[in-house]
Amino acid sequence: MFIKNKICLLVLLCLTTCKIIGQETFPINGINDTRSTFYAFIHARIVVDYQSVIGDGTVVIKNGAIHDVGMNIPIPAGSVIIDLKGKSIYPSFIDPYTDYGIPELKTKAKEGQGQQFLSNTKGAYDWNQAIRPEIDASKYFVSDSKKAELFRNAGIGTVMSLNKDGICRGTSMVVLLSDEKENLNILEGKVAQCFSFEKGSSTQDYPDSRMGAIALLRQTYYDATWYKQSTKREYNLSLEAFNENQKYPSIFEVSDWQNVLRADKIGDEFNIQYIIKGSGYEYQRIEEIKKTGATFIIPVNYPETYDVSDPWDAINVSLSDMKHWELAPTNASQLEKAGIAFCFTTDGLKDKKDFMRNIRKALDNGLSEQSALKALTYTPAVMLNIQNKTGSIKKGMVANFIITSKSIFDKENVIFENWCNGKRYIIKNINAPDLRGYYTLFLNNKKAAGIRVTGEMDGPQIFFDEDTNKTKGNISFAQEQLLLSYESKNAATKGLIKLNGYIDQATKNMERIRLFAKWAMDKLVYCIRFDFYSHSKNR
Amino acid sequence: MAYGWEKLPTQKTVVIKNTTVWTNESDGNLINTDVLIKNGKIALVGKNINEPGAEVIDGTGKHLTAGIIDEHSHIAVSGAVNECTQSVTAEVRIADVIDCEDVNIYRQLAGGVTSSHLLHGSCNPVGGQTQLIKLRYGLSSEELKFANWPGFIKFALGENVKQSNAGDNNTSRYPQTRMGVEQTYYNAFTRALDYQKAIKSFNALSTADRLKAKPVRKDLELDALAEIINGKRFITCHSYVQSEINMLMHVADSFHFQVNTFTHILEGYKVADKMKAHGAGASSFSDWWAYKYEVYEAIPYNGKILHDVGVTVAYNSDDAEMARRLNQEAAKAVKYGGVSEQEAWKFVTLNPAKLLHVDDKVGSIKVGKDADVVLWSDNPLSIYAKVEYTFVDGICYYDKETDKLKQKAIADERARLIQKMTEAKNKGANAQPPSFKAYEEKHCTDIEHMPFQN
Repeated sequence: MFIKNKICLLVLLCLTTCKIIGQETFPINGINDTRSTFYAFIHARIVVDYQSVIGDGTVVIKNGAIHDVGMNIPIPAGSVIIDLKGKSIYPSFIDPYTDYGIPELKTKAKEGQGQQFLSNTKGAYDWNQAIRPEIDASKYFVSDSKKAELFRNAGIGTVMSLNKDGICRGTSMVVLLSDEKENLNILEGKVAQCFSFEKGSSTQDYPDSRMGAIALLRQTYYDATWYKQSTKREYNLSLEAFNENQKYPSIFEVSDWQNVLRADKIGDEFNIQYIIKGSGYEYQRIEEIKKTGATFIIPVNYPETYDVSDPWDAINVSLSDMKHWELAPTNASQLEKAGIAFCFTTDGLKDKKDFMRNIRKALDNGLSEQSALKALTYTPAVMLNIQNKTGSIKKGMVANFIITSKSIFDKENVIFENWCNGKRYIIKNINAPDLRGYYTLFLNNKKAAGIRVTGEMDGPQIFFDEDTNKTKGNISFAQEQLLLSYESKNAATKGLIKLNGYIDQATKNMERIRLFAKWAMDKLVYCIRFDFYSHSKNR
Repeated sequence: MAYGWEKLPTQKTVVIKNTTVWTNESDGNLINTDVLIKNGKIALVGKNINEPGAEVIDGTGKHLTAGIIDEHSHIAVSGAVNECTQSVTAEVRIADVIDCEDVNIYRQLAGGVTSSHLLHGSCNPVGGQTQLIKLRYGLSSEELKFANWPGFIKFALGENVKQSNAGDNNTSRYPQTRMGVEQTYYNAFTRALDYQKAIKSFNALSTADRLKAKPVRKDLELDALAEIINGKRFITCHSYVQSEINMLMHVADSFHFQVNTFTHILEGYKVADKMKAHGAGASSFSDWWAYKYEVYEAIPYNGKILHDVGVTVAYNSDDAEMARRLNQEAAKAVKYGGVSEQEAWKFVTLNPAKLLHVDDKVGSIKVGKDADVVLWSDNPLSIYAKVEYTFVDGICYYDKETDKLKQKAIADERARLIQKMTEAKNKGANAQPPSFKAYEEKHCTDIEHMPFQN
């Protein structure tokens, strides 16, 4: 990215710390300084949605929304212009199965030991503590800036959040991951109703088995129907909510492929097509899975390999666990091949950094890039009925997108920025040059050392090779300043050598980058130059 | 896919030639006889059968029988087999939680079992709706279900249902006494009758009146109990002590239905005449007892005595291990009391089929019945007998030679994966330590995390 002029830069820095979007219903203590600035992202490769790309286009955003997108669109006067030549814009991803921002909503704990036959929940609620359709996730939502950052760093801009507790878990919401006030982050307060076979924090005895959970859920559907028809003698907040929730899609979380069929069978009885939050085991019986007709939300938490170096220990790993280790990354491609709609979730991942890494493993195992992108954007948006708000880069939609160095599926891709709800979140410095490569250090036009810069683009390692000595040095790049240092062992330059320089912008976009640096030793200052070779190869 | 299958086995036309056929019918045992299996049914039993295109299995010196039917099993159930939290849980169904991937299905095929009756445990007076399955290993849970089978329900009596051994935290669920057990049944069936009555009177209303009236709340528990009273669902009841057996028969008489089967029924020899008069069958152990107070008075002649009185007697397993050797359990009816070999064999085949109301489809080798048959290397009552082939619906789900190949293939596959895992670890992948996962065997009285015997 190249900032056109210094003023632009200043304005930009200022604005990222100000509120861009005002909350109209809130009073302001002080002087109203709400600004609506246009941002124009020019010369970007824009991936509009999973099936269309603009090679060199412009996105204009304002007030958290996409103002315009296209190839030759006018840039409004006063826009902050951000040049993204060589970079890409993608719609940010949607994670449709999280508990982001939901505090633990455990049911009331049991007092003392013994059997508990009825719910401990106080009030006019269901008889069973695991039936909680009245839980409305949006009522409990509190933004969590640390967790939001982890999601954003993985390229995610929107999540569905639910209370993952109980058999009937109430309604979920869709939220954006900006650090705006909750009022501005909730995109939809109610999008789906959620179910599982697990009673969660319920301390009530019933149900104590999966067949009991199934019976309880079926009875609840019947009770709700009866409740609707009957001249009421009782008022039941849970059944009221249960009936009210029927207008939303139903999502059922399961733990293996057999439970998919069990959930779907309940759905068949009550004329409901569940969306299935799957387990990653769907590939094991793909034909039966397809027959359910469900859309799947699948995790990418593939198992780690087992340490089988001890043959005695190896006996304890079942063949099915070993096979799952091998085949888990094929799950998505098998769903694609079978024509089953699916989306990805970070649910179950210990580290959200593994999200893209593991999706790339799915690509290595036959998943197409188009399906992967569809699963990250379009499918979850349609599933949650928010496709007119997010999931693609179109006029009027929420300004939710990421800026990347390459295709998101490229192993070397870097996500520079995640713009969420119109706000800029810098993940990696977009101005940081990719310094990896080979250089030669000249001191007074005499070759002093070869330099190797390797490793991660945003945290490279540097080695100085002097004849037979190979020394690891330090490298840092901040605020346009390059700092290098190493311990020289050559007779002529022995001692700590520190270099300070900057990148010559004139050659920056060419294959050859020239860096100017000052070399300080014995209080003498020399001007030196080192040249960059074969940037794209042999890192 | 199930144990080593690359693809599912298919139905074939097979002739088993020159073998000893235990028909379980009036023909008794036929020697040097051929049996033709076609389209999943037993097509022909006779001499010198030549069917073009049929696969031929030489049965010389071997014995062909109907497949074993285990009347009391807890295999292939996913999650807990008990829903102990209320005394009457007629609404819970094993059908909802069949685990078609349980390797015990395959192991029991290797022991000649072709059908298993999957039951709840015994921790409450009414456990729930049971499920009869055929051991079609490799198919999905829905496809394992025995088609056109009337529903059954598990009842239980004795120590477990009053939580005698369930610890100090389980002392408040009604009933806590044997008197309370009886009242639990009366209460349940009375509620079911009232429920039925209410539905009938609601349905009798005119359409206009119905709109104004309060509809009857559909109750899954009472639906199942009402089916019992109406003779549409049958009881198999965990039972040990004579007084309680009499009690349940009395409850049933009061509501004008029959207790179909008493299972365990270790004191059945004391009340055999009453059971005969009531019309109940017995599904017992051959010689398993003394594991708790209420089974001290069991005797190994139980099956023989019940059989002689004219009660339909079956021997069951209640145990995944024992189910692999039910042929030997049948043999114990010969050892204790001298039941004839052919009658003893029916204890694990035709008699459980009768108790389960499927003797028109399975349980004997008769033309037109399902081809659920087993070829044994020896007299099936012998401890030397091994299963060579097990067919379900004319599909060979187990044969000894293929099994050897499968075991080899599985060992090779393990070796390949161990190699691959080692390479991945050496390349720097995180490796988790293996941990031993014990297979959880289920018994009658298992509550999750709380197993105890029978």
